[in-house]
Amino acid sequence: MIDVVNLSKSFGDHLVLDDITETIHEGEKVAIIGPSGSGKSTFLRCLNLLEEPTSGKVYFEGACINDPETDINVHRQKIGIVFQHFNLFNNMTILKNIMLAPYKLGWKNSKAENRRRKNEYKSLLREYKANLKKEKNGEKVSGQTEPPVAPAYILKEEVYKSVERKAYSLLDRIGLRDKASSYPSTLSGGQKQRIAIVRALALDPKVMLFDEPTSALDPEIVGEVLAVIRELADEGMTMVIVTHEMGFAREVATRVMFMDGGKIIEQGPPKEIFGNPQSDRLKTFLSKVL
Amino acid sequence: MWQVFHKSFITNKGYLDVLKGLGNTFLIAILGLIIGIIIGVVIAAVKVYPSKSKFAAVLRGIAELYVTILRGTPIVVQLLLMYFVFLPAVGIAANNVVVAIIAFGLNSGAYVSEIIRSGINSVDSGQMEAARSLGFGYVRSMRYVVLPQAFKNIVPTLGNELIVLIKETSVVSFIAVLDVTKAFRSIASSNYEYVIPYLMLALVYLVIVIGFTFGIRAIERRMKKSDRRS
Repeated sequence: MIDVVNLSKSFGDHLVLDDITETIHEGEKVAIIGPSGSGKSTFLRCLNLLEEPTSGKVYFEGACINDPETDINVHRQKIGIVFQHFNLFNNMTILKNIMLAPYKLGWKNSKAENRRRKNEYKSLLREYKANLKKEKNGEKVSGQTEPPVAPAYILKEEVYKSVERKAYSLLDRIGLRDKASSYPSTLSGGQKQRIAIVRALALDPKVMLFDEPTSALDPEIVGEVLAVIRELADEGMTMVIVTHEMGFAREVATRVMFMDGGKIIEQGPPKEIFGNPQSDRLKTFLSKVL
Repeated sequence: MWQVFHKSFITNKGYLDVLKGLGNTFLIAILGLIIGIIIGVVIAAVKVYPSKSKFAAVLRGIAELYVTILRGTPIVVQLLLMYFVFLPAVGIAANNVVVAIIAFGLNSGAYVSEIIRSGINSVDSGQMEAARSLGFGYVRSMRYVVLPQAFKNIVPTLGNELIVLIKETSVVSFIAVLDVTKAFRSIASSNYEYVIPYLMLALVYLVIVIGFTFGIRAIERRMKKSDRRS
């Protein structure tokens, strides 16, 4: 689903990602662990181009997304990301936060579809009129001989209503329907992060990226956020999680990647990474965090 | 003293000039600010837009030059140059109030562009990232997410700019515009009685500024409310 080929990233002279080649398959839940500064967040952010790679290529569903010719905005709609600091839009209510992208982008697509229907109708009408003329002259006619039916257009309100319904059902899912008209500043960190997750889900992404989703949370509310992510994993969502929650990585991930110094040092099923680490660096890291 | 003032203010209809002057003062300050905001938005957009193209670099250079020149010279000098040098040079004989409005608009555009730019920079970069990550382009992310928050942050500073502008318009008599200062000056010099007219003039400015300050505070409070509605 995501293919990374010879990906390198440097900030100035500092090489953060060192020639990484890696594939993330559909349905996988990949946990990336490693000491801070190891490049794991940068790697994750390269996957939806929030960080522009210095060299190398990133493919999403076969399309090279860091090609300047590619419209990255289209692909980003299919790649959800959840940030450490939530980044809910402070100027909007919770409902608007969730609805903004699906509504604006949905209406943009609907407008394009309406234009297509209109043009189709117009060309049929032209053909029909031309045929009428031919018929008058006693010529043979083919194609559109009946007057075409005017098309039904998608209405803005319809798009809004359907997005709103979806937003409420997402809020129901995390039990925060009553917060729909609240502003982010009135919510707790755990609530904000759950909202941020469903905001990303509202676009029906094919893959979800989590950038240390629980690192900014108080320990007692980490659980409620992890529960939502776990539920998502159980539903079969493809995801990549940068995390410091080793217990969670062991439980939920199908593959654990250990990064250090801009390279993937070791990876494998959680049982092996945590139970039988091979490299010294991973052993040292695990002895510190477990 | 009071009788002398009464004579020139009421009997000789000096108050008519004052009212007209007041109108011009407001007109120049408010229209000047509106033009300033329009120019400021454009310049701030040029400065903030992250493009590496040559064209963008040239635009940025022009914007930089504009701000440097207009912030680096006194408004009086700009006013004089505009009225006596630049407009005659291109053969335009404009009404002096219009010239004042344009000069103040151009001048405040330079200041407002910096205000807007700092407002945009004050919005957490995570907001832009989140909008981009949902598939919005740069312009739409700005429009839906960053600018509304930036605007909220700059309301007090913009209000301050309006107050500065109102006081600065007192120099427009250099190009023979009748503003409130000019009106009181004529009253004072008509009979060499300065005390009351100039104290009155100070009072008039003070009342205007206090009025606007209250207005701006009310807008700020309103905006805060929408921030904390639960």
